[in-house]
Amino acid sequence: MTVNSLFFLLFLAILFLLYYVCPLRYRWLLLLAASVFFYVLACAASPLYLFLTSVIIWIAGVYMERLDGECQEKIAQEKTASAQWKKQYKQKKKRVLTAAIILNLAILLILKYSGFFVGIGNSVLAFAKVKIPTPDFLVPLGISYYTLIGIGYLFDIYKGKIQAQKNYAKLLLFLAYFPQITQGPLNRYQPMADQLYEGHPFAYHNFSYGCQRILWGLFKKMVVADNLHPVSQAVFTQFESMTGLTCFLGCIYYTVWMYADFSGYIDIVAGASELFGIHIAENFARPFFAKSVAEYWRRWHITLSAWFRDYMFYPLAVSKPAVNFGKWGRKHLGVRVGKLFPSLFALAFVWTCTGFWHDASWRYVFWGFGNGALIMGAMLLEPYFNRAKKALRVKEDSFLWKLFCIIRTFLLVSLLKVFPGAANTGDSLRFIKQMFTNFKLPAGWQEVVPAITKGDALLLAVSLLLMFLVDVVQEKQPVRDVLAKRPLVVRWACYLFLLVFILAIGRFQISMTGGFAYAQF
Amino acid sequence: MEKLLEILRELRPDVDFEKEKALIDDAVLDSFDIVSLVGEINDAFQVEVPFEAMEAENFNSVQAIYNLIQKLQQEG
Repeated sequence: MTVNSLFFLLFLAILFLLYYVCPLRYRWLLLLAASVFFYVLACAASPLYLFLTSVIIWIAGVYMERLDGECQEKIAQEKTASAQWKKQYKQKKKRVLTAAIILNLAILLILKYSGFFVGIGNSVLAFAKVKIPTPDFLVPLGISYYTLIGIGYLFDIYKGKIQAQKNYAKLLLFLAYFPQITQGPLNRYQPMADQLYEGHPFAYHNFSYGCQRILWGLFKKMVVADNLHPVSQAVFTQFESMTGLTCFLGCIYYTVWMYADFSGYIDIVAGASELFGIHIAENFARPFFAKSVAEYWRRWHITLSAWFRDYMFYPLAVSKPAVNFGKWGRKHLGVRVGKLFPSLFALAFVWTCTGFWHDASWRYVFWGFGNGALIMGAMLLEPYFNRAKKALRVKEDSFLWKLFCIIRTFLLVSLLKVFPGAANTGDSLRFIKQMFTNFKLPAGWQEVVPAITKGDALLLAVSLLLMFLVDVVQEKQPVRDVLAKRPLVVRWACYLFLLVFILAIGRFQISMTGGFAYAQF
Repeated sequence: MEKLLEILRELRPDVDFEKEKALIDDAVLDSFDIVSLVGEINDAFQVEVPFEAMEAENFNSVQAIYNLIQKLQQEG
C-alpha cells in the first residue's frame, strides 16, 4: 500500500487506535503484526526473501555475540593470553560477518542485478552466438533498504557498538518496521531498538507533530511532486523536439520533483512513526542549500550516504591496499595528492556502488561516476580553486559568494539528472547532445513548462515557493516549533490552507503499490 | 600530544583544536579529513587504525584521538 493513499491513512488510523488501547508491553508486537501486514499487502509474492534475509542476519548477529562471550571466558581463564584470544576471536567474528554479508548481497544481486549482468554476458558472448536466458525475478519491495539496514546492524555488532537482538520477532520488527520498509530511511539499531520495543504512552505533542508532518509530506508529494512529474517526464520523453534550454530546465524539474517526492515520502512516514512516539532518522537537511557536491550528499538521502561512509568508505579507505596506494601517491605525485589517495580509492568504489544501488543500469553507473568525479575533482583541484579565489579577491563569508556556491551546486547535481531522467543510456547521451547543441529559444510558455495548463503552472509555482520558504525557515529552526508558538487561529489557518491545496490540486492514489520515485530502488 | 596537535594544525589550520570538543558531531572535520588524519597517525605513531575504530567518539577531540593512539600502541 502506498503511503499517499486513503487506504494507508485508514490503516494508520486503525493502528493508532489499537496501539494506544493495547497493553504497553505488547505494543511492539502490534507494530510487528502491522508491519508484516503492510509488507504482505504491498508485495504479496515476495515476503519470503525478507524472512530469509532476516533469519540470516539474526543467526549471524547472535553467533557473533556468542563468540564475544566465549572470548571473555577464555580471557578470564587465561589473562596473560588476552591479546591472543582477542585476535583469534576477532578473526572468527570477521568470518561470520563476511559470510552473512556475502549471503545477503548474493540474494540482492541475484534478484535485482542478474538481468543486468546476464545482459553484459550476452553482449560479450554475442560473437559466439551464445545467448543466456535473461532471468526475470520479481524484485521484493524494499530489498535494497532492508538488506543494507541488516548489514549495518551486523557491522555494529562486529564493532562492539551494540548487542545482538536474541528475539527473532524483535529483530524482524527492526528490519521490517512499516514506515521504513519501502523507501528507508536506513535506520540504525542503536537509536531505534529501544523506541520500537518500548510501549509508548499517548502524548499529545507526538500526535500533533506527527499529523503536521504527515500533512506537509502529503502536500510535497501530492501537490508539488505529482504536478511537477508530468512536466519533467514530458521533457525527458519528448526531448528531441525540445530546445536546449527546455532540456536544461527539464533537469531542474526532475531534481525538484525527486526532492519533493522523496522528502515528501519521508515526511509522511516520519510523521506516521511519530504518532507512536517513534522518531526515525532524518533523511534530508535542505540539500538545495548545499555549497558543494560533497555537502549536498551530506544533506540528501542522509542515511544512505552515512551508511556508505561508515560501512564502505571508512573500511576501504583505511584498508591496506588504500594505505599502500596513498604511499605510492605520496612518492610519485607529492604529499598533498598522495594524502588524498586513500579517500579517492574508497570513493571510486562507493560511487560505483551508489550508482548500482539505485539501479542495475549503465546510466546509473554513469550518474555515480559523475557524482564521484565532481567530489574527487573538487578535492584534487582545491589549491587551484583557492588560488583563483585569492586572485579574484573572493570573500568566502559574503552572501553573494555563498549564493553563487549554492546555485553552482544545484546546477551541477541537476545536470547529472540527465542519466536517471532519461529512459536509457542512449537517450541520456542524445539528451546531453540536444541540451548543448540546440540553442533555439523556446517558442512559448508551453515549451518552457510543457504538459501542464497555465493555471496549474501558476499553482505549482505558488506551491514551490511555499516549499522553498518552509525550507528557508527550517534551515534556521524547526518549522513546527515556530508554528507551535503562533496563536491557535494562525496554526489552524496554516493546516487548512495546506489541506485545501491538497484537495484542490493534489493527486490521490487509490492503488496499493508504487507511486513514489524511490520505491523502485 | 604535541606531535598530534602539529599534524592536526597542518591538516586544518583554520580549526582551534585545543578548544573543539565535537570535531565530528559538529562537522568540523569531514570524512576526507579523517582519512587523511588516519594516514598521518599511522605513519607518525607507528600504529594501524582499524576500521572498527572509525567512530565519532574516537575523533571528536584531540584528547579522544590521543587516547585512541595510546590504546592502539598498547595493543601493539
